[in-house]
Amino acid sequence: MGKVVGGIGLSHVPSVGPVVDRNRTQEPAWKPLFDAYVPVREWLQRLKPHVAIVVYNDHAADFSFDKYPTFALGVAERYAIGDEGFGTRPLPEVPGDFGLSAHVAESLVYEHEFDLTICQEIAVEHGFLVPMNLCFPHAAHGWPVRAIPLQVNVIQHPLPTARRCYRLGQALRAAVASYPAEVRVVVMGTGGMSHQLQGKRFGFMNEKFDQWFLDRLEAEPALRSRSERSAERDEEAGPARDERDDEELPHRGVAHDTAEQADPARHAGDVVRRVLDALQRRRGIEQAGERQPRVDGDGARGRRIGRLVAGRLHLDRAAARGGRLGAGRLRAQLGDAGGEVGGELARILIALLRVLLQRARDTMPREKTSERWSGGWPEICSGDM
Amino acid sequence: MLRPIPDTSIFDLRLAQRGRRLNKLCAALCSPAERDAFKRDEEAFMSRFGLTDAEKDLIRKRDFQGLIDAGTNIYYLLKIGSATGNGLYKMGAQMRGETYEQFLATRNMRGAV
Repeated sequence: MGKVVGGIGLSHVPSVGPVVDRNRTQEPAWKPLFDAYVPVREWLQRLKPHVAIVVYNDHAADFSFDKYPTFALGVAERYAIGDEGFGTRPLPEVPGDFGLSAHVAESLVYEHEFDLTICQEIAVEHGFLVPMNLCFPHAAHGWPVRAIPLQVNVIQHPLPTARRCYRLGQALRAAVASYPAEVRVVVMGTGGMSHQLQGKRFGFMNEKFDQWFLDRLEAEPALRSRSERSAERDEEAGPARDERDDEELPHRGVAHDTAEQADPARHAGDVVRRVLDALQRRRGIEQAGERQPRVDGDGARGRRIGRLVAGRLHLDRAAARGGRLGAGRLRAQLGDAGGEVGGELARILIALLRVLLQRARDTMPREKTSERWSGGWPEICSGDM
Repeated sequence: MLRPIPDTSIFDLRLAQRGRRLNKLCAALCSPAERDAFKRDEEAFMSRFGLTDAEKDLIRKRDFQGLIDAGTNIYYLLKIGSATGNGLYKMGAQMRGETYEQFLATRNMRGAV
């Protein structure tokens, strides 16, 4: 099975590239930066990853505004080195992992409903290459890992929201975990901290803000909405706040996929699916599909169970309003219910949950929190089952 | 939806539309042959991309803030900067109204260029 063995958030200062190429890494101005990555590389050597998924942004090297994807995934055997307007760096082309790329593409599109642009060719540039230089130094014959580029638009508004990027990270982790072959994956999310690149405030950066932001990223990975941030904070950060938020967050989502959801109702479908999976694993039931017609036919029993489930879910939802609802907690509750009464209840729950899941899929607005959906659980649970 | 930030524009679709010709010209500079063509005959190169006279003038004058205001995306602007011998810091110094040396003096690591 695939496994995410590490996640790294790091910068991609473009001048690092020529410094590496010209062997200037030990000059006094650059040594501190490169020295900081020595323990990172030692850590990575212990992790022995096979693949690096690099969540980065292109800087108008291989993507252009003629057609500009919000999320673009590389699905190729190898990736060429791009020319950003300064010439092509003397680096070996980067080996891809077609099998994992194809699996991630299918998982993100089918299971997690991310509408990706799929790329058979990407010429990678400093957003991708600087993190590779810092973490996986190449030799003359090639790179020590295979790599998969995942490009995120952070240069032309409208940008994907930070929340969306966080969810992309969660989906990425799930996609890697469901890969049938053994593969150890490191996910890198790359972007700058505060920096302003134009206007009279060119070169502006605010370390105090950056430290505050990193603290929040660590303590509250499940995000506050843009509207919850103060206007002053945005002003302090400069425009590159967008790169920082949106590029680094996929990596946080990968690291925190078990974090409780900020808005439980929006994730109803995911919760139901996880419950279903957990029950199937716990009970080892393989023929639920064959039992479906019989269960569906037993209307009275179905309604009784439906009320039981609805009641529990109401309780959870109330709990969620007061605090937070963890998918793990709901899963445990339902699993316990199955354990109390025995396998038959679990089978019936599975049948019911299949119906719930289908309805959640059919009716749930995936991308916005609507008033209609915030009352959605009773709608799903009190139907004619 | 997007709040203003001091001393900068935010590159949205309206700015992208305004800068369409300029950004297409810049994108072409990712090819060595096109860079040579630009250096050989800037005027002919600019005409190929249908730039207005005002836009051409901004390039002639190396007016980087003017190019930003005309809708050139900063990451595209870097390509014109490179083709004309103006790296990011030189363009930035001009936008701040400083000399290159004055700008470098504001940095923690002056050699990190």
